[in-house]
Amino acid sequence: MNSWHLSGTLDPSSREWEAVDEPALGGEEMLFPNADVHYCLMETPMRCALAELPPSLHPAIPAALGITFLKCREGPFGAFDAAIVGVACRSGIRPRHMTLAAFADSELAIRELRDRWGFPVRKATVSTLVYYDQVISSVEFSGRSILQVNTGRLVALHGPGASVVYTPSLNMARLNKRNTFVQVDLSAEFKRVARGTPTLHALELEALGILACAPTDPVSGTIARVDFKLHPVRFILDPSVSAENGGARQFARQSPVVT
Amino acid sequence: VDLGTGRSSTWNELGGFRARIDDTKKTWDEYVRTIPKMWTQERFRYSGESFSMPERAVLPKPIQKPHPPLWVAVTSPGTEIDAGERGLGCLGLNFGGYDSHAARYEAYRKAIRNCVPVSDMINEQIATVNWMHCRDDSEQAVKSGNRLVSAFSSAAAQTIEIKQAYPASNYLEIGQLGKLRADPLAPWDSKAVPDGLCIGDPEEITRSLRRWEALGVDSAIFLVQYMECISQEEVLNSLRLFGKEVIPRFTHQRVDSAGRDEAIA
Repeated sequence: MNSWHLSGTLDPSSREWEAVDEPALGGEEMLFPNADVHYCLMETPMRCALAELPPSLHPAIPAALGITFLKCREGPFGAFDAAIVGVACRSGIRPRHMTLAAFADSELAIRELRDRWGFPVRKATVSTLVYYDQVISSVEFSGRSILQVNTGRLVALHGPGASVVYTPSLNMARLNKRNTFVQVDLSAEFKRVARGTPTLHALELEALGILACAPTDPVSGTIARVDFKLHPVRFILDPSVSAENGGARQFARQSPVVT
Repeated sequence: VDLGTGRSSTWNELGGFRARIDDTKKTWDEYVRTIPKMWTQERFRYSGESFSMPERAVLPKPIQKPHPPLWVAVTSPGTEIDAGERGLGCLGLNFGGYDSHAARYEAYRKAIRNCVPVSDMINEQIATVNWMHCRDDSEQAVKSGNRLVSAFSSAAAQTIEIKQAYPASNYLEIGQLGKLRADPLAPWDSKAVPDGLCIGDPEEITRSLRRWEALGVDSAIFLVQYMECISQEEVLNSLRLFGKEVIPRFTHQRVDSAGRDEAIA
């Protein structure tokens, strides 16, 4: 089936992944109430998406980069801001984002997001400022502004259309000493949603783990007030074997050996 | 010549044309109302929301009288009523099971009875797109047919649905085609062959077509190959068997628009 579709061209072994080493991936579902999620999707040249993705994943058509900012006010890790950058892709026929980089501003959140879900989170100053006419989100890392996205021309969405589809993340982690994608599912209850047009004001490719090139055309930007849940890891994927060829499997954390 | 219309539900298409996503229904409505006038009026001018044009002779004019029949692709819920109210043909997709289509076809027939047609003709017809693979050996037919459906749905899944990319109140539900792009339970699942497809031996295909016919479907359009996922020889054998065993069971007489008797399948 793969030969009919575009597939990534990256040799997974050639990349220095920001992979979390042996995360526990345990625990229960966690609720983050009253969070703001600023989610932007931007088109990127197909050659760039192909260069980012391993052969086990297909690029979305058209190729796109997803940028997600989370402003969590309360929840199990307290208040924190986080940012996740990923390439829109497909595992078999399922929409996913392969995570390229993640940042957060709280030590507790960094530790938990890395250990429970394998997000390759690094410490940075992350902020999301919500105004009536625009949202401004940014990441400052090692004293440099590496990412800033403004979503303007906001229009409030009402009724059943006031929701956003958040695609599950694929985070590269080392499990049993092997690079493995960890799939993270997020679900959300929407309280309010506005849609606008995102524009990039800062984008430092290397710091964001982007190998090839910057996104080119905006698709949409949304700001949503949500109660969101991060679910326990259910699936993991071998980066060198596609889902169609058996590369995806259910995740079951082995019980510790009792001696 | 028939003219099929639709508004699309993918970012690949709509983003490619920089279409105004929130207005796709309105834009479609303007075009289905103006295209027949371009065909039938010697000179046409128009001032509208989606486009405007000064008076021009839009050429070439169609040879068919009054003009080619107009259709709309009916996948999103409610489009069957849009089709009926405008006197357009209803072009559907034959999967998702028989029962899910019955109410929509009924709504179409009801709407078209009181339609205000967008042109000089009412095209009251339901045509559906289906997959077809016919073999004497039903098991083999399903095996090849599965490849056909899987290849199509897998390719369709690679495109970005509007609902995944651009929240909008006019794309609340994914349409029939979008369902092929929807998540199965697990990443390695391929979509099961949906109910109602014409995949099987001649008897099974006949039963399937009879059920669609009973629901009010006037004609079927078959996808017989996709990205060469089955061999040309298999496709030709399937077509030959279908032509020999199935088509004769559906041949009957009707009077065409010129009053001539014609055998149709």
